[in-house]
Amino acid sequence: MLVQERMSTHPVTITTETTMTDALRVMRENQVRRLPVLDETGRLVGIVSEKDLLYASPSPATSLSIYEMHYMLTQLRVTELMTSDVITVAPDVPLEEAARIMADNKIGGLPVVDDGDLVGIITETDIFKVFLELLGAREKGLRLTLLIPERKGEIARITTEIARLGGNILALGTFLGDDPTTAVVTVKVEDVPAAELEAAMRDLNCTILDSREI
Amino acid sequence: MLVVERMTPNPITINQDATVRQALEIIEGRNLRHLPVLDDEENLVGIVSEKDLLRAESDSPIKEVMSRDVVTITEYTALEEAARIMADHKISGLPVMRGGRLVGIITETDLFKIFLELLGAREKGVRLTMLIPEEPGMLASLTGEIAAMGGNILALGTFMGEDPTNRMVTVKVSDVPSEKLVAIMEALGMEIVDVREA
Repeated sequence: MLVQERMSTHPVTITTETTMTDALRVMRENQVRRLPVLDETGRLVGIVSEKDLLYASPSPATSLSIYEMHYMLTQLRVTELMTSDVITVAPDVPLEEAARIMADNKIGGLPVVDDGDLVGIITETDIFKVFLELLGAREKGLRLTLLIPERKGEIARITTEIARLGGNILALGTFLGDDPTTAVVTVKVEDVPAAELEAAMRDLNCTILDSREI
Repeated sequence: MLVVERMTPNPITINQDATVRQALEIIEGRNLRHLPVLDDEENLVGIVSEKDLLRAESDSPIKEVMSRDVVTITEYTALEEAARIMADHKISGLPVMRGGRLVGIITETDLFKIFLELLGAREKGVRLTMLIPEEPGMLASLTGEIAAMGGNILALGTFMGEDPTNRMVTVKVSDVPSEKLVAIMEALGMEIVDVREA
């Protein structure tokens, strides 16, 4: 799964001439939390988040009069507040790599740039939806969480056994275990009774951490 | 994987009679985006986000700016269920309750880290994405073949395919050259969508 498969194309953008008031209005009208900033040639020169703007807004306890405040906000351009060192990704980067970049840099969205052109934006929310799919959160079935030894062939043994019992795997995810010798696997299965599946997994020396119908 | 395994236990909270300014002082520097709000008896009465605070007047009491309709979960909720609740309600943090008491908080960021693990984003290997027919046993034959050629599966994730007859699988494997892996998957009838060393 690559960024281009899940990014929003044609993101809403603003220019270096946009004021802070207008940027906030654009965010609210389009229900987005960040806006890429383009220069007059259409080149990406920055990004501004709703939080950058909110932190920059004068506190209601300011000594400025309402007229002074209004004047200040309408004059202040986003270029004063935007992040100029924009971290971007290419459209053919894997989604988990985009997620890693966001987590490592504590940012919630990345402009997608192809050959110098802004082609999209990918956000935490987009990746979140993929996460739901990955663990089959919207599908019904028997959900088992297993602690398995971290060695070659373990996942094959589990999936082969489920297939042998006539089960269909709706979702399967692997996590790090308690220590380097183990891994945790969450699998969602339909068409096999819970008791039968649990017994078969125990026979394979898997520890059943959790079992539930969802 | 359950909420209890990844939540932040004993989260920092704020009293409903504190001010917005006090709450902002608490979250500043701690990188927090939500504070559960308690009354004097330590009952959960609301939740307040960084954005709620930034939009409010700094002398306002928290009880006037917090959300009162708090969606909560328990420690034994499945993580993907917590993720589904967040997505459906468009919220990024959920207080975790045990018998009416606040025992933790789980946020989008916590779930994000799990996503990285799930797809092995921090491990090195051959990363293969393929479309496989939606039939029982397909994952078994795929993983069986990888094991047979001595490969170690670092991560495996299944996604919806292009239509109901197929499914997208991303797998990260170590100890097998990528050409060999691709050849064997093609022989099994898988359609390779993407292959890279990552």
